[in-house]
Amino acid sequence: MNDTVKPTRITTVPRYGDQPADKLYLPAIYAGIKVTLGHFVRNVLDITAMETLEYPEEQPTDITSRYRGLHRLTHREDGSIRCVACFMCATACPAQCINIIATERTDGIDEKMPEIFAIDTLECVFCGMCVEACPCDAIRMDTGIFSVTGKTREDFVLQRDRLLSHTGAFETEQTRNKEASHD
Amino acid sequence: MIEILETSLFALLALGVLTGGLMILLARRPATHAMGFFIALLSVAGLFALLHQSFLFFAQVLVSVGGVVIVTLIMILTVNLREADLPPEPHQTRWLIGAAVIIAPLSLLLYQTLTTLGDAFPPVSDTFGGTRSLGTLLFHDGVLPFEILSVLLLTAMVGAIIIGKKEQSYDRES
Amino acid sequence: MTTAQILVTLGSIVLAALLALLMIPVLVWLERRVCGLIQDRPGPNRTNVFGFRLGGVVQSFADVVKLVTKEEYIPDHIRYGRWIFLLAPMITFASALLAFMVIPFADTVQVDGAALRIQGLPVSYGILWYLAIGSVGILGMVFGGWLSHNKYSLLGALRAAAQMISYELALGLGIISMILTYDTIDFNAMVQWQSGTFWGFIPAWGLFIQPFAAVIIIIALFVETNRAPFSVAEGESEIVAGFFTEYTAMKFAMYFMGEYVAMNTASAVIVTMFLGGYQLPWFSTAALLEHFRTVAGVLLLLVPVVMTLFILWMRRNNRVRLTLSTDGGRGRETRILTGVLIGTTLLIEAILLWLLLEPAGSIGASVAVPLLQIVIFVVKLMLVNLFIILIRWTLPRFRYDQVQVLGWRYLLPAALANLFVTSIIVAGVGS
Repeated sequence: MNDTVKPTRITTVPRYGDQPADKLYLPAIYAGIKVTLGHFVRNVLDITAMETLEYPEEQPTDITSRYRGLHRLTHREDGSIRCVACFMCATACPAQCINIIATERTDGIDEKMPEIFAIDTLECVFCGMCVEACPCDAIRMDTGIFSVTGKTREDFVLQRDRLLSHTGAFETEQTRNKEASHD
Repeated sequence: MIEILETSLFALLALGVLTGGLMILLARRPATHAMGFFIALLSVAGLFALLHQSFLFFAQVLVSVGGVVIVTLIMILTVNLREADLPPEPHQTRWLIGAAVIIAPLSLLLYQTLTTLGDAFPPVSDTFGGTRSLGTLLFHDGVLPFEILSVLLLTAMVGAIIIGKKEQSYDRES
Repeated sequence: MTTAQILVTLGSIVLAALLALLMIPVLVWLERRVCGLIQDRPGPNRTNVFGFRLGGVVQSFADVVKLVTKEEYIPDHIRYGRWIFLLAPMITFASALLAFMVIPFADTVQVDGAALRIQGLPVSYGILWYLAIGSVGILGMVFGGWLSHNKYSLLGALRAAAQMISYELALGLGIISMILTYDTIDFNAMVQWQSGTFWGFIPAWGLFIQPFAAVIIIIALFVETNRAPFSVAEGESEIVAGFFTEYTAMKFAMYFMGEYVAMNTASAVIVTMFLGGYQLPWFSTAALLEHFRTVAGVLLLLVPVVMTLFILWMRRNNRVRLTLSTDGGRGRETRILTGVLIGTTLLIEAILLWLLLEPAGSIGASVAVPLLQIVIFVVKLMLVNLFIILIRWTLPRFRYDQVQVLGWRYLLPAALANLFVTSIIVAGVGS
């Protein structure tokens, strides 16, 4: 039986290029020149109306609290380090850029703390997996710092004390997983 | 002063022609061949310019250098012969020496012909060599050879196109 | 040759060389700045010399310094033909520069009884020279690409060569029809021919007399200079730079500069053949010389107006947004430049006033008219350069087979048809 099922949704793709005006191409050139010349004249007449940011005098305007900037290690209320060197962030990191060496904690709050906590920002892809993996809300990426400079490769490996010294850039911080902080 | 300048310029250009020719003959790589071709043709154009033949200078540069040399380069690059594809040429030095020995008396004959050839043509005026004078001469006295040459070129072009055309398959619209 | 004649000849040679060479940084700057402004971004504007940015022109000079001081090396895989590899950019650069030398910048000047041309090479066969020498530049590209011992370079070079010889035919035929119309091969005579009017009020520019040939020749000139949208040679394998790939530092700089000089020369040819050259639209040189006092008077009024507008525009635009903390010295630059421009305007006004008050037909007019013509030529040249740069950033690049189809199947028959029609009309009108 010749039962041809007609498809119910036929999308016709419009094909261009067969008209004489298309083949001549000069009308298309004219239309293109109108656009570019319009942009050019508009920008020449007032160059400060451009959306381009004059970095470094103008800093980016779209850094929000969700922006994944440089990492920071958080403190507890008494000032000690919150991280317990559980290695979950190092395991979760897809670029394997976190190096932790744990040591015994001396202030009796927990058992372990990181003696060496090094993040290689040259390897880091700023994905935020470490922040999601941490059970203690010890590492965050809300510093809002987007520019890291250095003269040698070693300058880009951030150690624990520098990470502790970074501060969060946003006032409305909610501490995640407060029950995990063993307070 | 002008004489010294002209003579030295002529010597330089003749040296260019000879160098170019020798490079074409004796070079081992095709790039050096092509460069020799370019130098030789450019020097010939310079010799035309030295004789105040401006139209021939332009024709030489435009057609020979700007057309023939480039097409030759494209041809060399497309065909892309390697040393291994060429047939072996043993005893090359003997061939060269034998050819030089045979050609030497012929070149004497050629030299004799060329030096006496000048008497066969009437001297031209001082302003000859520009486009207008050459064009007038060509279209008054030399119309028939000119048209036959153009038919010859047309035949060559049509032949080249037919040889170069690929076979059209019948289910493809041309 | 009297002193004045020697001075004028030397002056035209110096002018031609300066115009060709000094245009290179200006064109590089123009390209980058226009490209930026079209794309809604400012373009280079930070490189400065003691605070003077001059809109970013200093960036081009910084580029030159960088290219000169870069490490020169020839890749090791280029084993033979190194001298040809080094010679190739020089061929392109030399031929581009030489081709510029026959463009007239002003009308012939009567100095001590002899009529001197204001060209780099005072010859009467300008268009043939341009065609001939302009076609030598391609050889540099082919040799360079070939000797680079690199597949991509070779492809780029081959495509460039094939594209150029395809369009040389159309260019040659178009130029022949223009030669038929103007009845001369002399650029200066071509410009003089365009000094009349036709149909009453339209200036007899080549663009209006032969629009068809103008389109054909302009397209063919785009191809000859390897400019977008026909930039298959240099941008084709876009990641590797076509036949430029193995060239570093000064050798690359020669190719780069050669390309901009070729573009400048093509603009000059377009201006000379189609836009009336160095002339004002409705005035011929004789008319200018005769009515020079009127012209000086008009300029006396016009120059301050233009300068005021420019200074106002500069004050408005040579600054950063007012919310910023520093302006990088732009304010100081604007003030100094305003002073310089006002001083220049006063100087020009003084000269024009002196010319106005002098009796007619004196030496002042015969010196000032060529200068005015040179200025008009440079203005028109910059406009055409701007047009070419605009086209580059408007149109996408053609595919190589599209380029060849356009050259052989559309442009060549169009040029032939134009030649037929032109010769019929010229023969009909001339008899």
